Amino acid sequence: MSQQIYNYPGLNLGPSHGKEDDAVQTAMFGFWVFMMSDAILFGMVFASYVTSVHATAGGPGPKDLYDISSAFIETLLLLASSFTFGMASLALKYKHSTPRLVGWLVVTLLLGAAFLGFEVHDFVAMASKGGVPQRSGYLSAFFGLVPLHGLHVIGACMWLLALFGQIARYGLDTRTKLGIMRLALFWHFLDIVWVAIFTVVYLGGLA
Amino acid sequence: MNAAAILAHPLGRLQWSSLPFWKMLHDPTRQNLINGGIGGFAASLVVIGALVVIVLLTHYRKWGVLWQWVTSVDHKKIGIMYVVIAFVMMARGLIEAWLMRLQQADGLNGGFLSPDHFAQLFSTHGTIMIFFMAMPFLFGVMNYVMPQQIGARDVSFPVLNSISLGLTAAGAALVMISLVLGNFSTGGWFGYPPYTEANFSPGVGPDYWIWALSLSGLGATLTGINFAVTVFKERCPGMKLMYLPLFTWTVLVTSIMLIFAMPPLTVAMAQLALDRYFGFHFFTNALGGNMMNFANLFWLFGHPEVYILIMPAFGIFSELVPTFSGKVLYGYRSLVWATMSIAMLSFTVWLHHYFTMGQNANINAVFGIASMLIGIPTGVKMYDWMLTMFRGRVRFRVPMVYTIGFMLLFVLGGMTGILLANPSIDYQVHNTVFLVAHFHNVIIPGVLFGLLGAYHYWFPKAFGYRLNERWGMISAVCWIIGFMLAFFPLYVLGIMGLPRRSVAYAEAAYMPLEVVAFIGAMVLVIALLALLWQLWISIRDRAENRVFAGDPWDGRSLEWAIAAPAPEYNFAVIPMVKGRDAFTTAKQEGTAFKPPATYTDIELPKNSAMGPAVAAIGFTLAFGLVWHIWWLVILACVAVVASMIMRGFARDTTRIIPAAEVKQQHQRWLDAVTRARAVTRAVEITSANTGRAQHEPSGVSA
Amino acid sequence: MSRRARSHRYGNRGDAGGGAPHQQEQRQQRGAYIWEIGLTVAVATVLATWQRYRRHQPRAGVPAGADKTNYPHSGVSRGNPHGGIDMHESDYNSILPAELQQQETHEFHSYVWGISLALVLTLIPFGLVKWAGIPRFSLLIVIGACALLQLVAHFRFFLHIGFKQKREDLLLILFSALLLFLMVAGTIWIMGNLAQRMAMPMSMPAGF
Repeated sequence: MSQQIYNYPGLNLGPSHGKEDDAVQTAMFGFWVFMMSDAILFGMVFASYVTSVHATAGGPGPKDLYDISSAFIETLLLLASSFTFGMASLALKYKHSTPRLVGWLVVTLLLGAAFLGFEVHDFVAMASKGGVPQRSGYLSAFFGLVPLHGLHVIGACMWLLALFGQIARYGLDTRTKLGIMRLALFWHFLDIVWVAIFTVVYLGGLA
Repeated sequence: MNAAAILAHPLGRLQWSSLPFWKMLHDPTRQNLINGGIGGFAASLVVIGALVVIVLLTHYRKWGVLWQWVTSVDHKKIGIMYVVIAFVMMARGLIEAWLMRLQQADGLNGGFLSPDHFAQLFSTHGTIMIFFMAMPFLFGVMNYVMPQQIGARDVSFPVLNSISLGLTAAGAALVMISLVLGNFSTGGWFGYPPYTEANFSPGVGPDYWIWALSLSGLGATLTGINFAVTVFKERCPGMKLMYLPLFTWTVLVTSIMLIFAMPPLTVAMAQLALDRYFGFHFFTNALGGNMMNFANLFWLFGHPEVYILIMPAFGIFSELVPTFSGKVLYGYRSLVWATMSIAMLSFTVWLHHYFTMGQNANINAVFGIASMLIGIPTGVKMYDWMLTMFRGRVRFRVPMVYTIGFMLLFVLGGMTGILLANPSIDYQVHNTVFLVAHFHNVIIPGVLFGLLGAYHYWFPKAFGYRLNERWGMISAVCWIIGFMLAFFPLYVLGIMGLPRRSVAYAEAAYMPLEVVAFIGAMVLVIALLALLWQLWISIRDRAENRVFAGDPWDGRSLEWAIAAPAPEYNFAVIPMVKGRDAFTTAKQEGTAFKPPATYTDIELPKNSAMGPAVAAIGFTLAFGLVWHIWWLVILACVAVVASMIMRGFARDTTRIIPAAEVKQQHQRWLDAVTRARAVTRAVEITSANTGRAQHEPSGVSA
Repeated sequence: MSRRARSHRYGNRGDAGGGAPHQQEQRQQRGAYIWEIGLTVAVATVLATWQRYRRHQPRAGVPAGADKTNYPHSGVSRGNPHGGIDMHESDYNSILPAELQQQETHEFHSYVWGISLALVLTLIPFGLVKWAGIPRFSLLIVIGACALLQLVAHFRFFLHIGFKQKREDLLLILFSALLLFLMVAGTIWIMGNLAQRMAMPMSMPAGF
């Protein structure tokens, strides 16, 4: 049983399935490798931010611009969306009805969209206080980091929409399932990046 | 960037004056005439070359064949296409190098090129040789050989592989089009800001450079992911990691380095682009920008990059030396560990590229020591190759000549590297041509000789006939001699104080050595011409040099166990291996070329238009960005998303080759092999060699 | 304490930047609402799902095949009209529904653990930054520790990375973490030193 439990969510294959199991393992492993490459990308952008955080050039600094409430809400939204995607993974793996799976995914999508809404609101609020990327090295680094994560979330949401289309067209066939499983990994990964963002950028900036 | 602006300038910054001979026509001074003439000639070469290809394709009705090739997801075809790109770009890069040497030989009189033209030459030369010659060549060899060495039918993600090729091709096309429209960057291959910022370089040059590097960098990242997963997941039964041929080991390590080293480049390029396009302040002089962040990011990529280049070359030499010495590779385990150590160390030394930029002596010492440490595993490798040759029957075929050239010259380059790893010495020769001599001394004998060795070694596998040995030898000797003539003088010049990238100089003592270096460059051009001539006469005489049985060199690993050229599915039946040098074992035990008990259907991926589509979209996007043609940019962005979504909806992406067909093809080949005469190594470069090797246990005379 | 007063007391740090006083007040008020709405939604979601799964606890001795709607294991593949591979069907032949349910509950608990830990580890640093007046350096250390723990929790409970599996994922992640550390720490070290020596505005925390 334990071998089953630690399989990928949504994946109920074992070695007895030979080729199909191999194909799924390969695809998932490939996606993990991609995410690690992406993690390095984020790591470098974080390094840029940390090394530029004091380069405010006389402009507004973190304490002038960040809104801890908003960051907290964004955190909760993304965390909740990670959980709901987990529920979707369970619905996929244990073959609950497709509407239930889609339901969880829709909730996830809404949470993701709400997150993006708050983030855009944040950026607008920052801009209204003079916090635009052209103002200083620090603000350039901020707008090189946080919106990069936002872009990833937008990408993930679009991917999710495309998956809805695939579910509608093909039902839950192997490729759709693989898509959902990989997007699940990506979604959880983006949540992890957000943990780093709220810690380093928002809490680090306001502490 | 609003709608009105887009409508007012539908072609963005693109104007008649973007053409290379514009300035010459409007202001015909002597210098403008020379520079415009050279630029116009190069541009017309690009245009005429493209036209000739189009005319030939139409005349011989080969557009369908071309489409079959570019949509192919077969790793072998993709590999060959990479190498073709590499050769085209090598020709351009080498001509530019020759032109620069000519300029410097005449540099005491001020030369004939404008400083701006000269700066474009060294920038494109560096960019092309690293990103569009060495890397595509490596990826080509890796693509062609690695899946066969691990007994696989393809890489893990064949369509992704085709997309990577498309991205590389789009980047290369961007560099080529910069000859015709506008200028390339004048900031060197690492394009340090603030010089490459919009304030100091407002033209299109740095934009060409940024997007060309971004496209090929993205392609390289995807290749790295693809190959690492392939080596981990697609090995044939019994192929443990410690049974992998050493080339495949280096492919694995290189892929891992690509995965982790390319992101800093992507970040550096993206941030520089944000600076240039949107007025951000990452690397500017004003408002808290810090160019040292760029230097740091670039070399975080740049140092692993040079090991990304050299590692597969080490792998290639590790295949060539045992094959052409008729011996088992000495110290397999130590070579594997040395490979891994070098890869790991390569991520800890990036600062040695900017020792002189102001950090304290302790940091310089740490990175200097780490840099010197790399000499240890590299030394281990060198000794392993020497001990493999020791008491072997070394056969001086072309690949082996390159190997010997490498071993002698690369050690020299490595030694000067150890010198440069000492910060206090680095301070003396920093930014002189000593450095230029050093890195050419490791990259040409290391990477290029390895790649050319690989080209001669695996060409028969890819096309079914050997390359002409005589012209190969002439070319190899020219490469070696030409390299020494061109770059040894630069060591001396560097110590004499000649700064790198000097368009002219006032010190008369430099001139004789510059002339010698120019003669070296001439010899290198002859080497390339000999190589092309060799290709031509090899194609002409291919009937006499066929090696259909697939094993022209008495090879040791699995790629030699199949026909030449390899069938599209590589292995009719997936092999089972029990140890290293699987094919040698099979030949010794007499199990090679035996028909299998049963054949099964083979599932292969279908051709996909994703690769060429991504190439076209990527090129369009980059071109629009370079010239500020915003409607084109928007269109291309929509196309990127649309193509990715469409790919998600693709089903039915594989096709089946029925067992009966596989059986028929395989048995026809097996029959031919059985009829073929096994030849000894003494006649391997005569037409008696049809690719069936008479196996000779080590030490037995040929 | 009224909501308005509270938001005055707690919201002043984040908004010390600008805007007219009444705008600030409004923003703070909205901020306070958002806190509560967000927390309530999150907790309600978890509780609702929890309830759902409590009802799905494994029942001992359910005969095989009792729950065919959810876990069809008739051995007859439904087939796929589009030629894809149906990955699930045959696998369920060998697993009893009861076992499957047990496994599902186990995995569900993993997610609940994940979100609970993540919530706690989010609340602590946010709370400390917002309310506690401890020195900056200690605060940074606590925040950093919470973030690291939360990363581990996410990897363990959401991404199912554990030490028991034989997959390459864990090795991959650890190797990536090592390289990430080398590159980021190296960058901060070098750039910090440069800034110090060149008197640039990038003073680093003590120790760099």
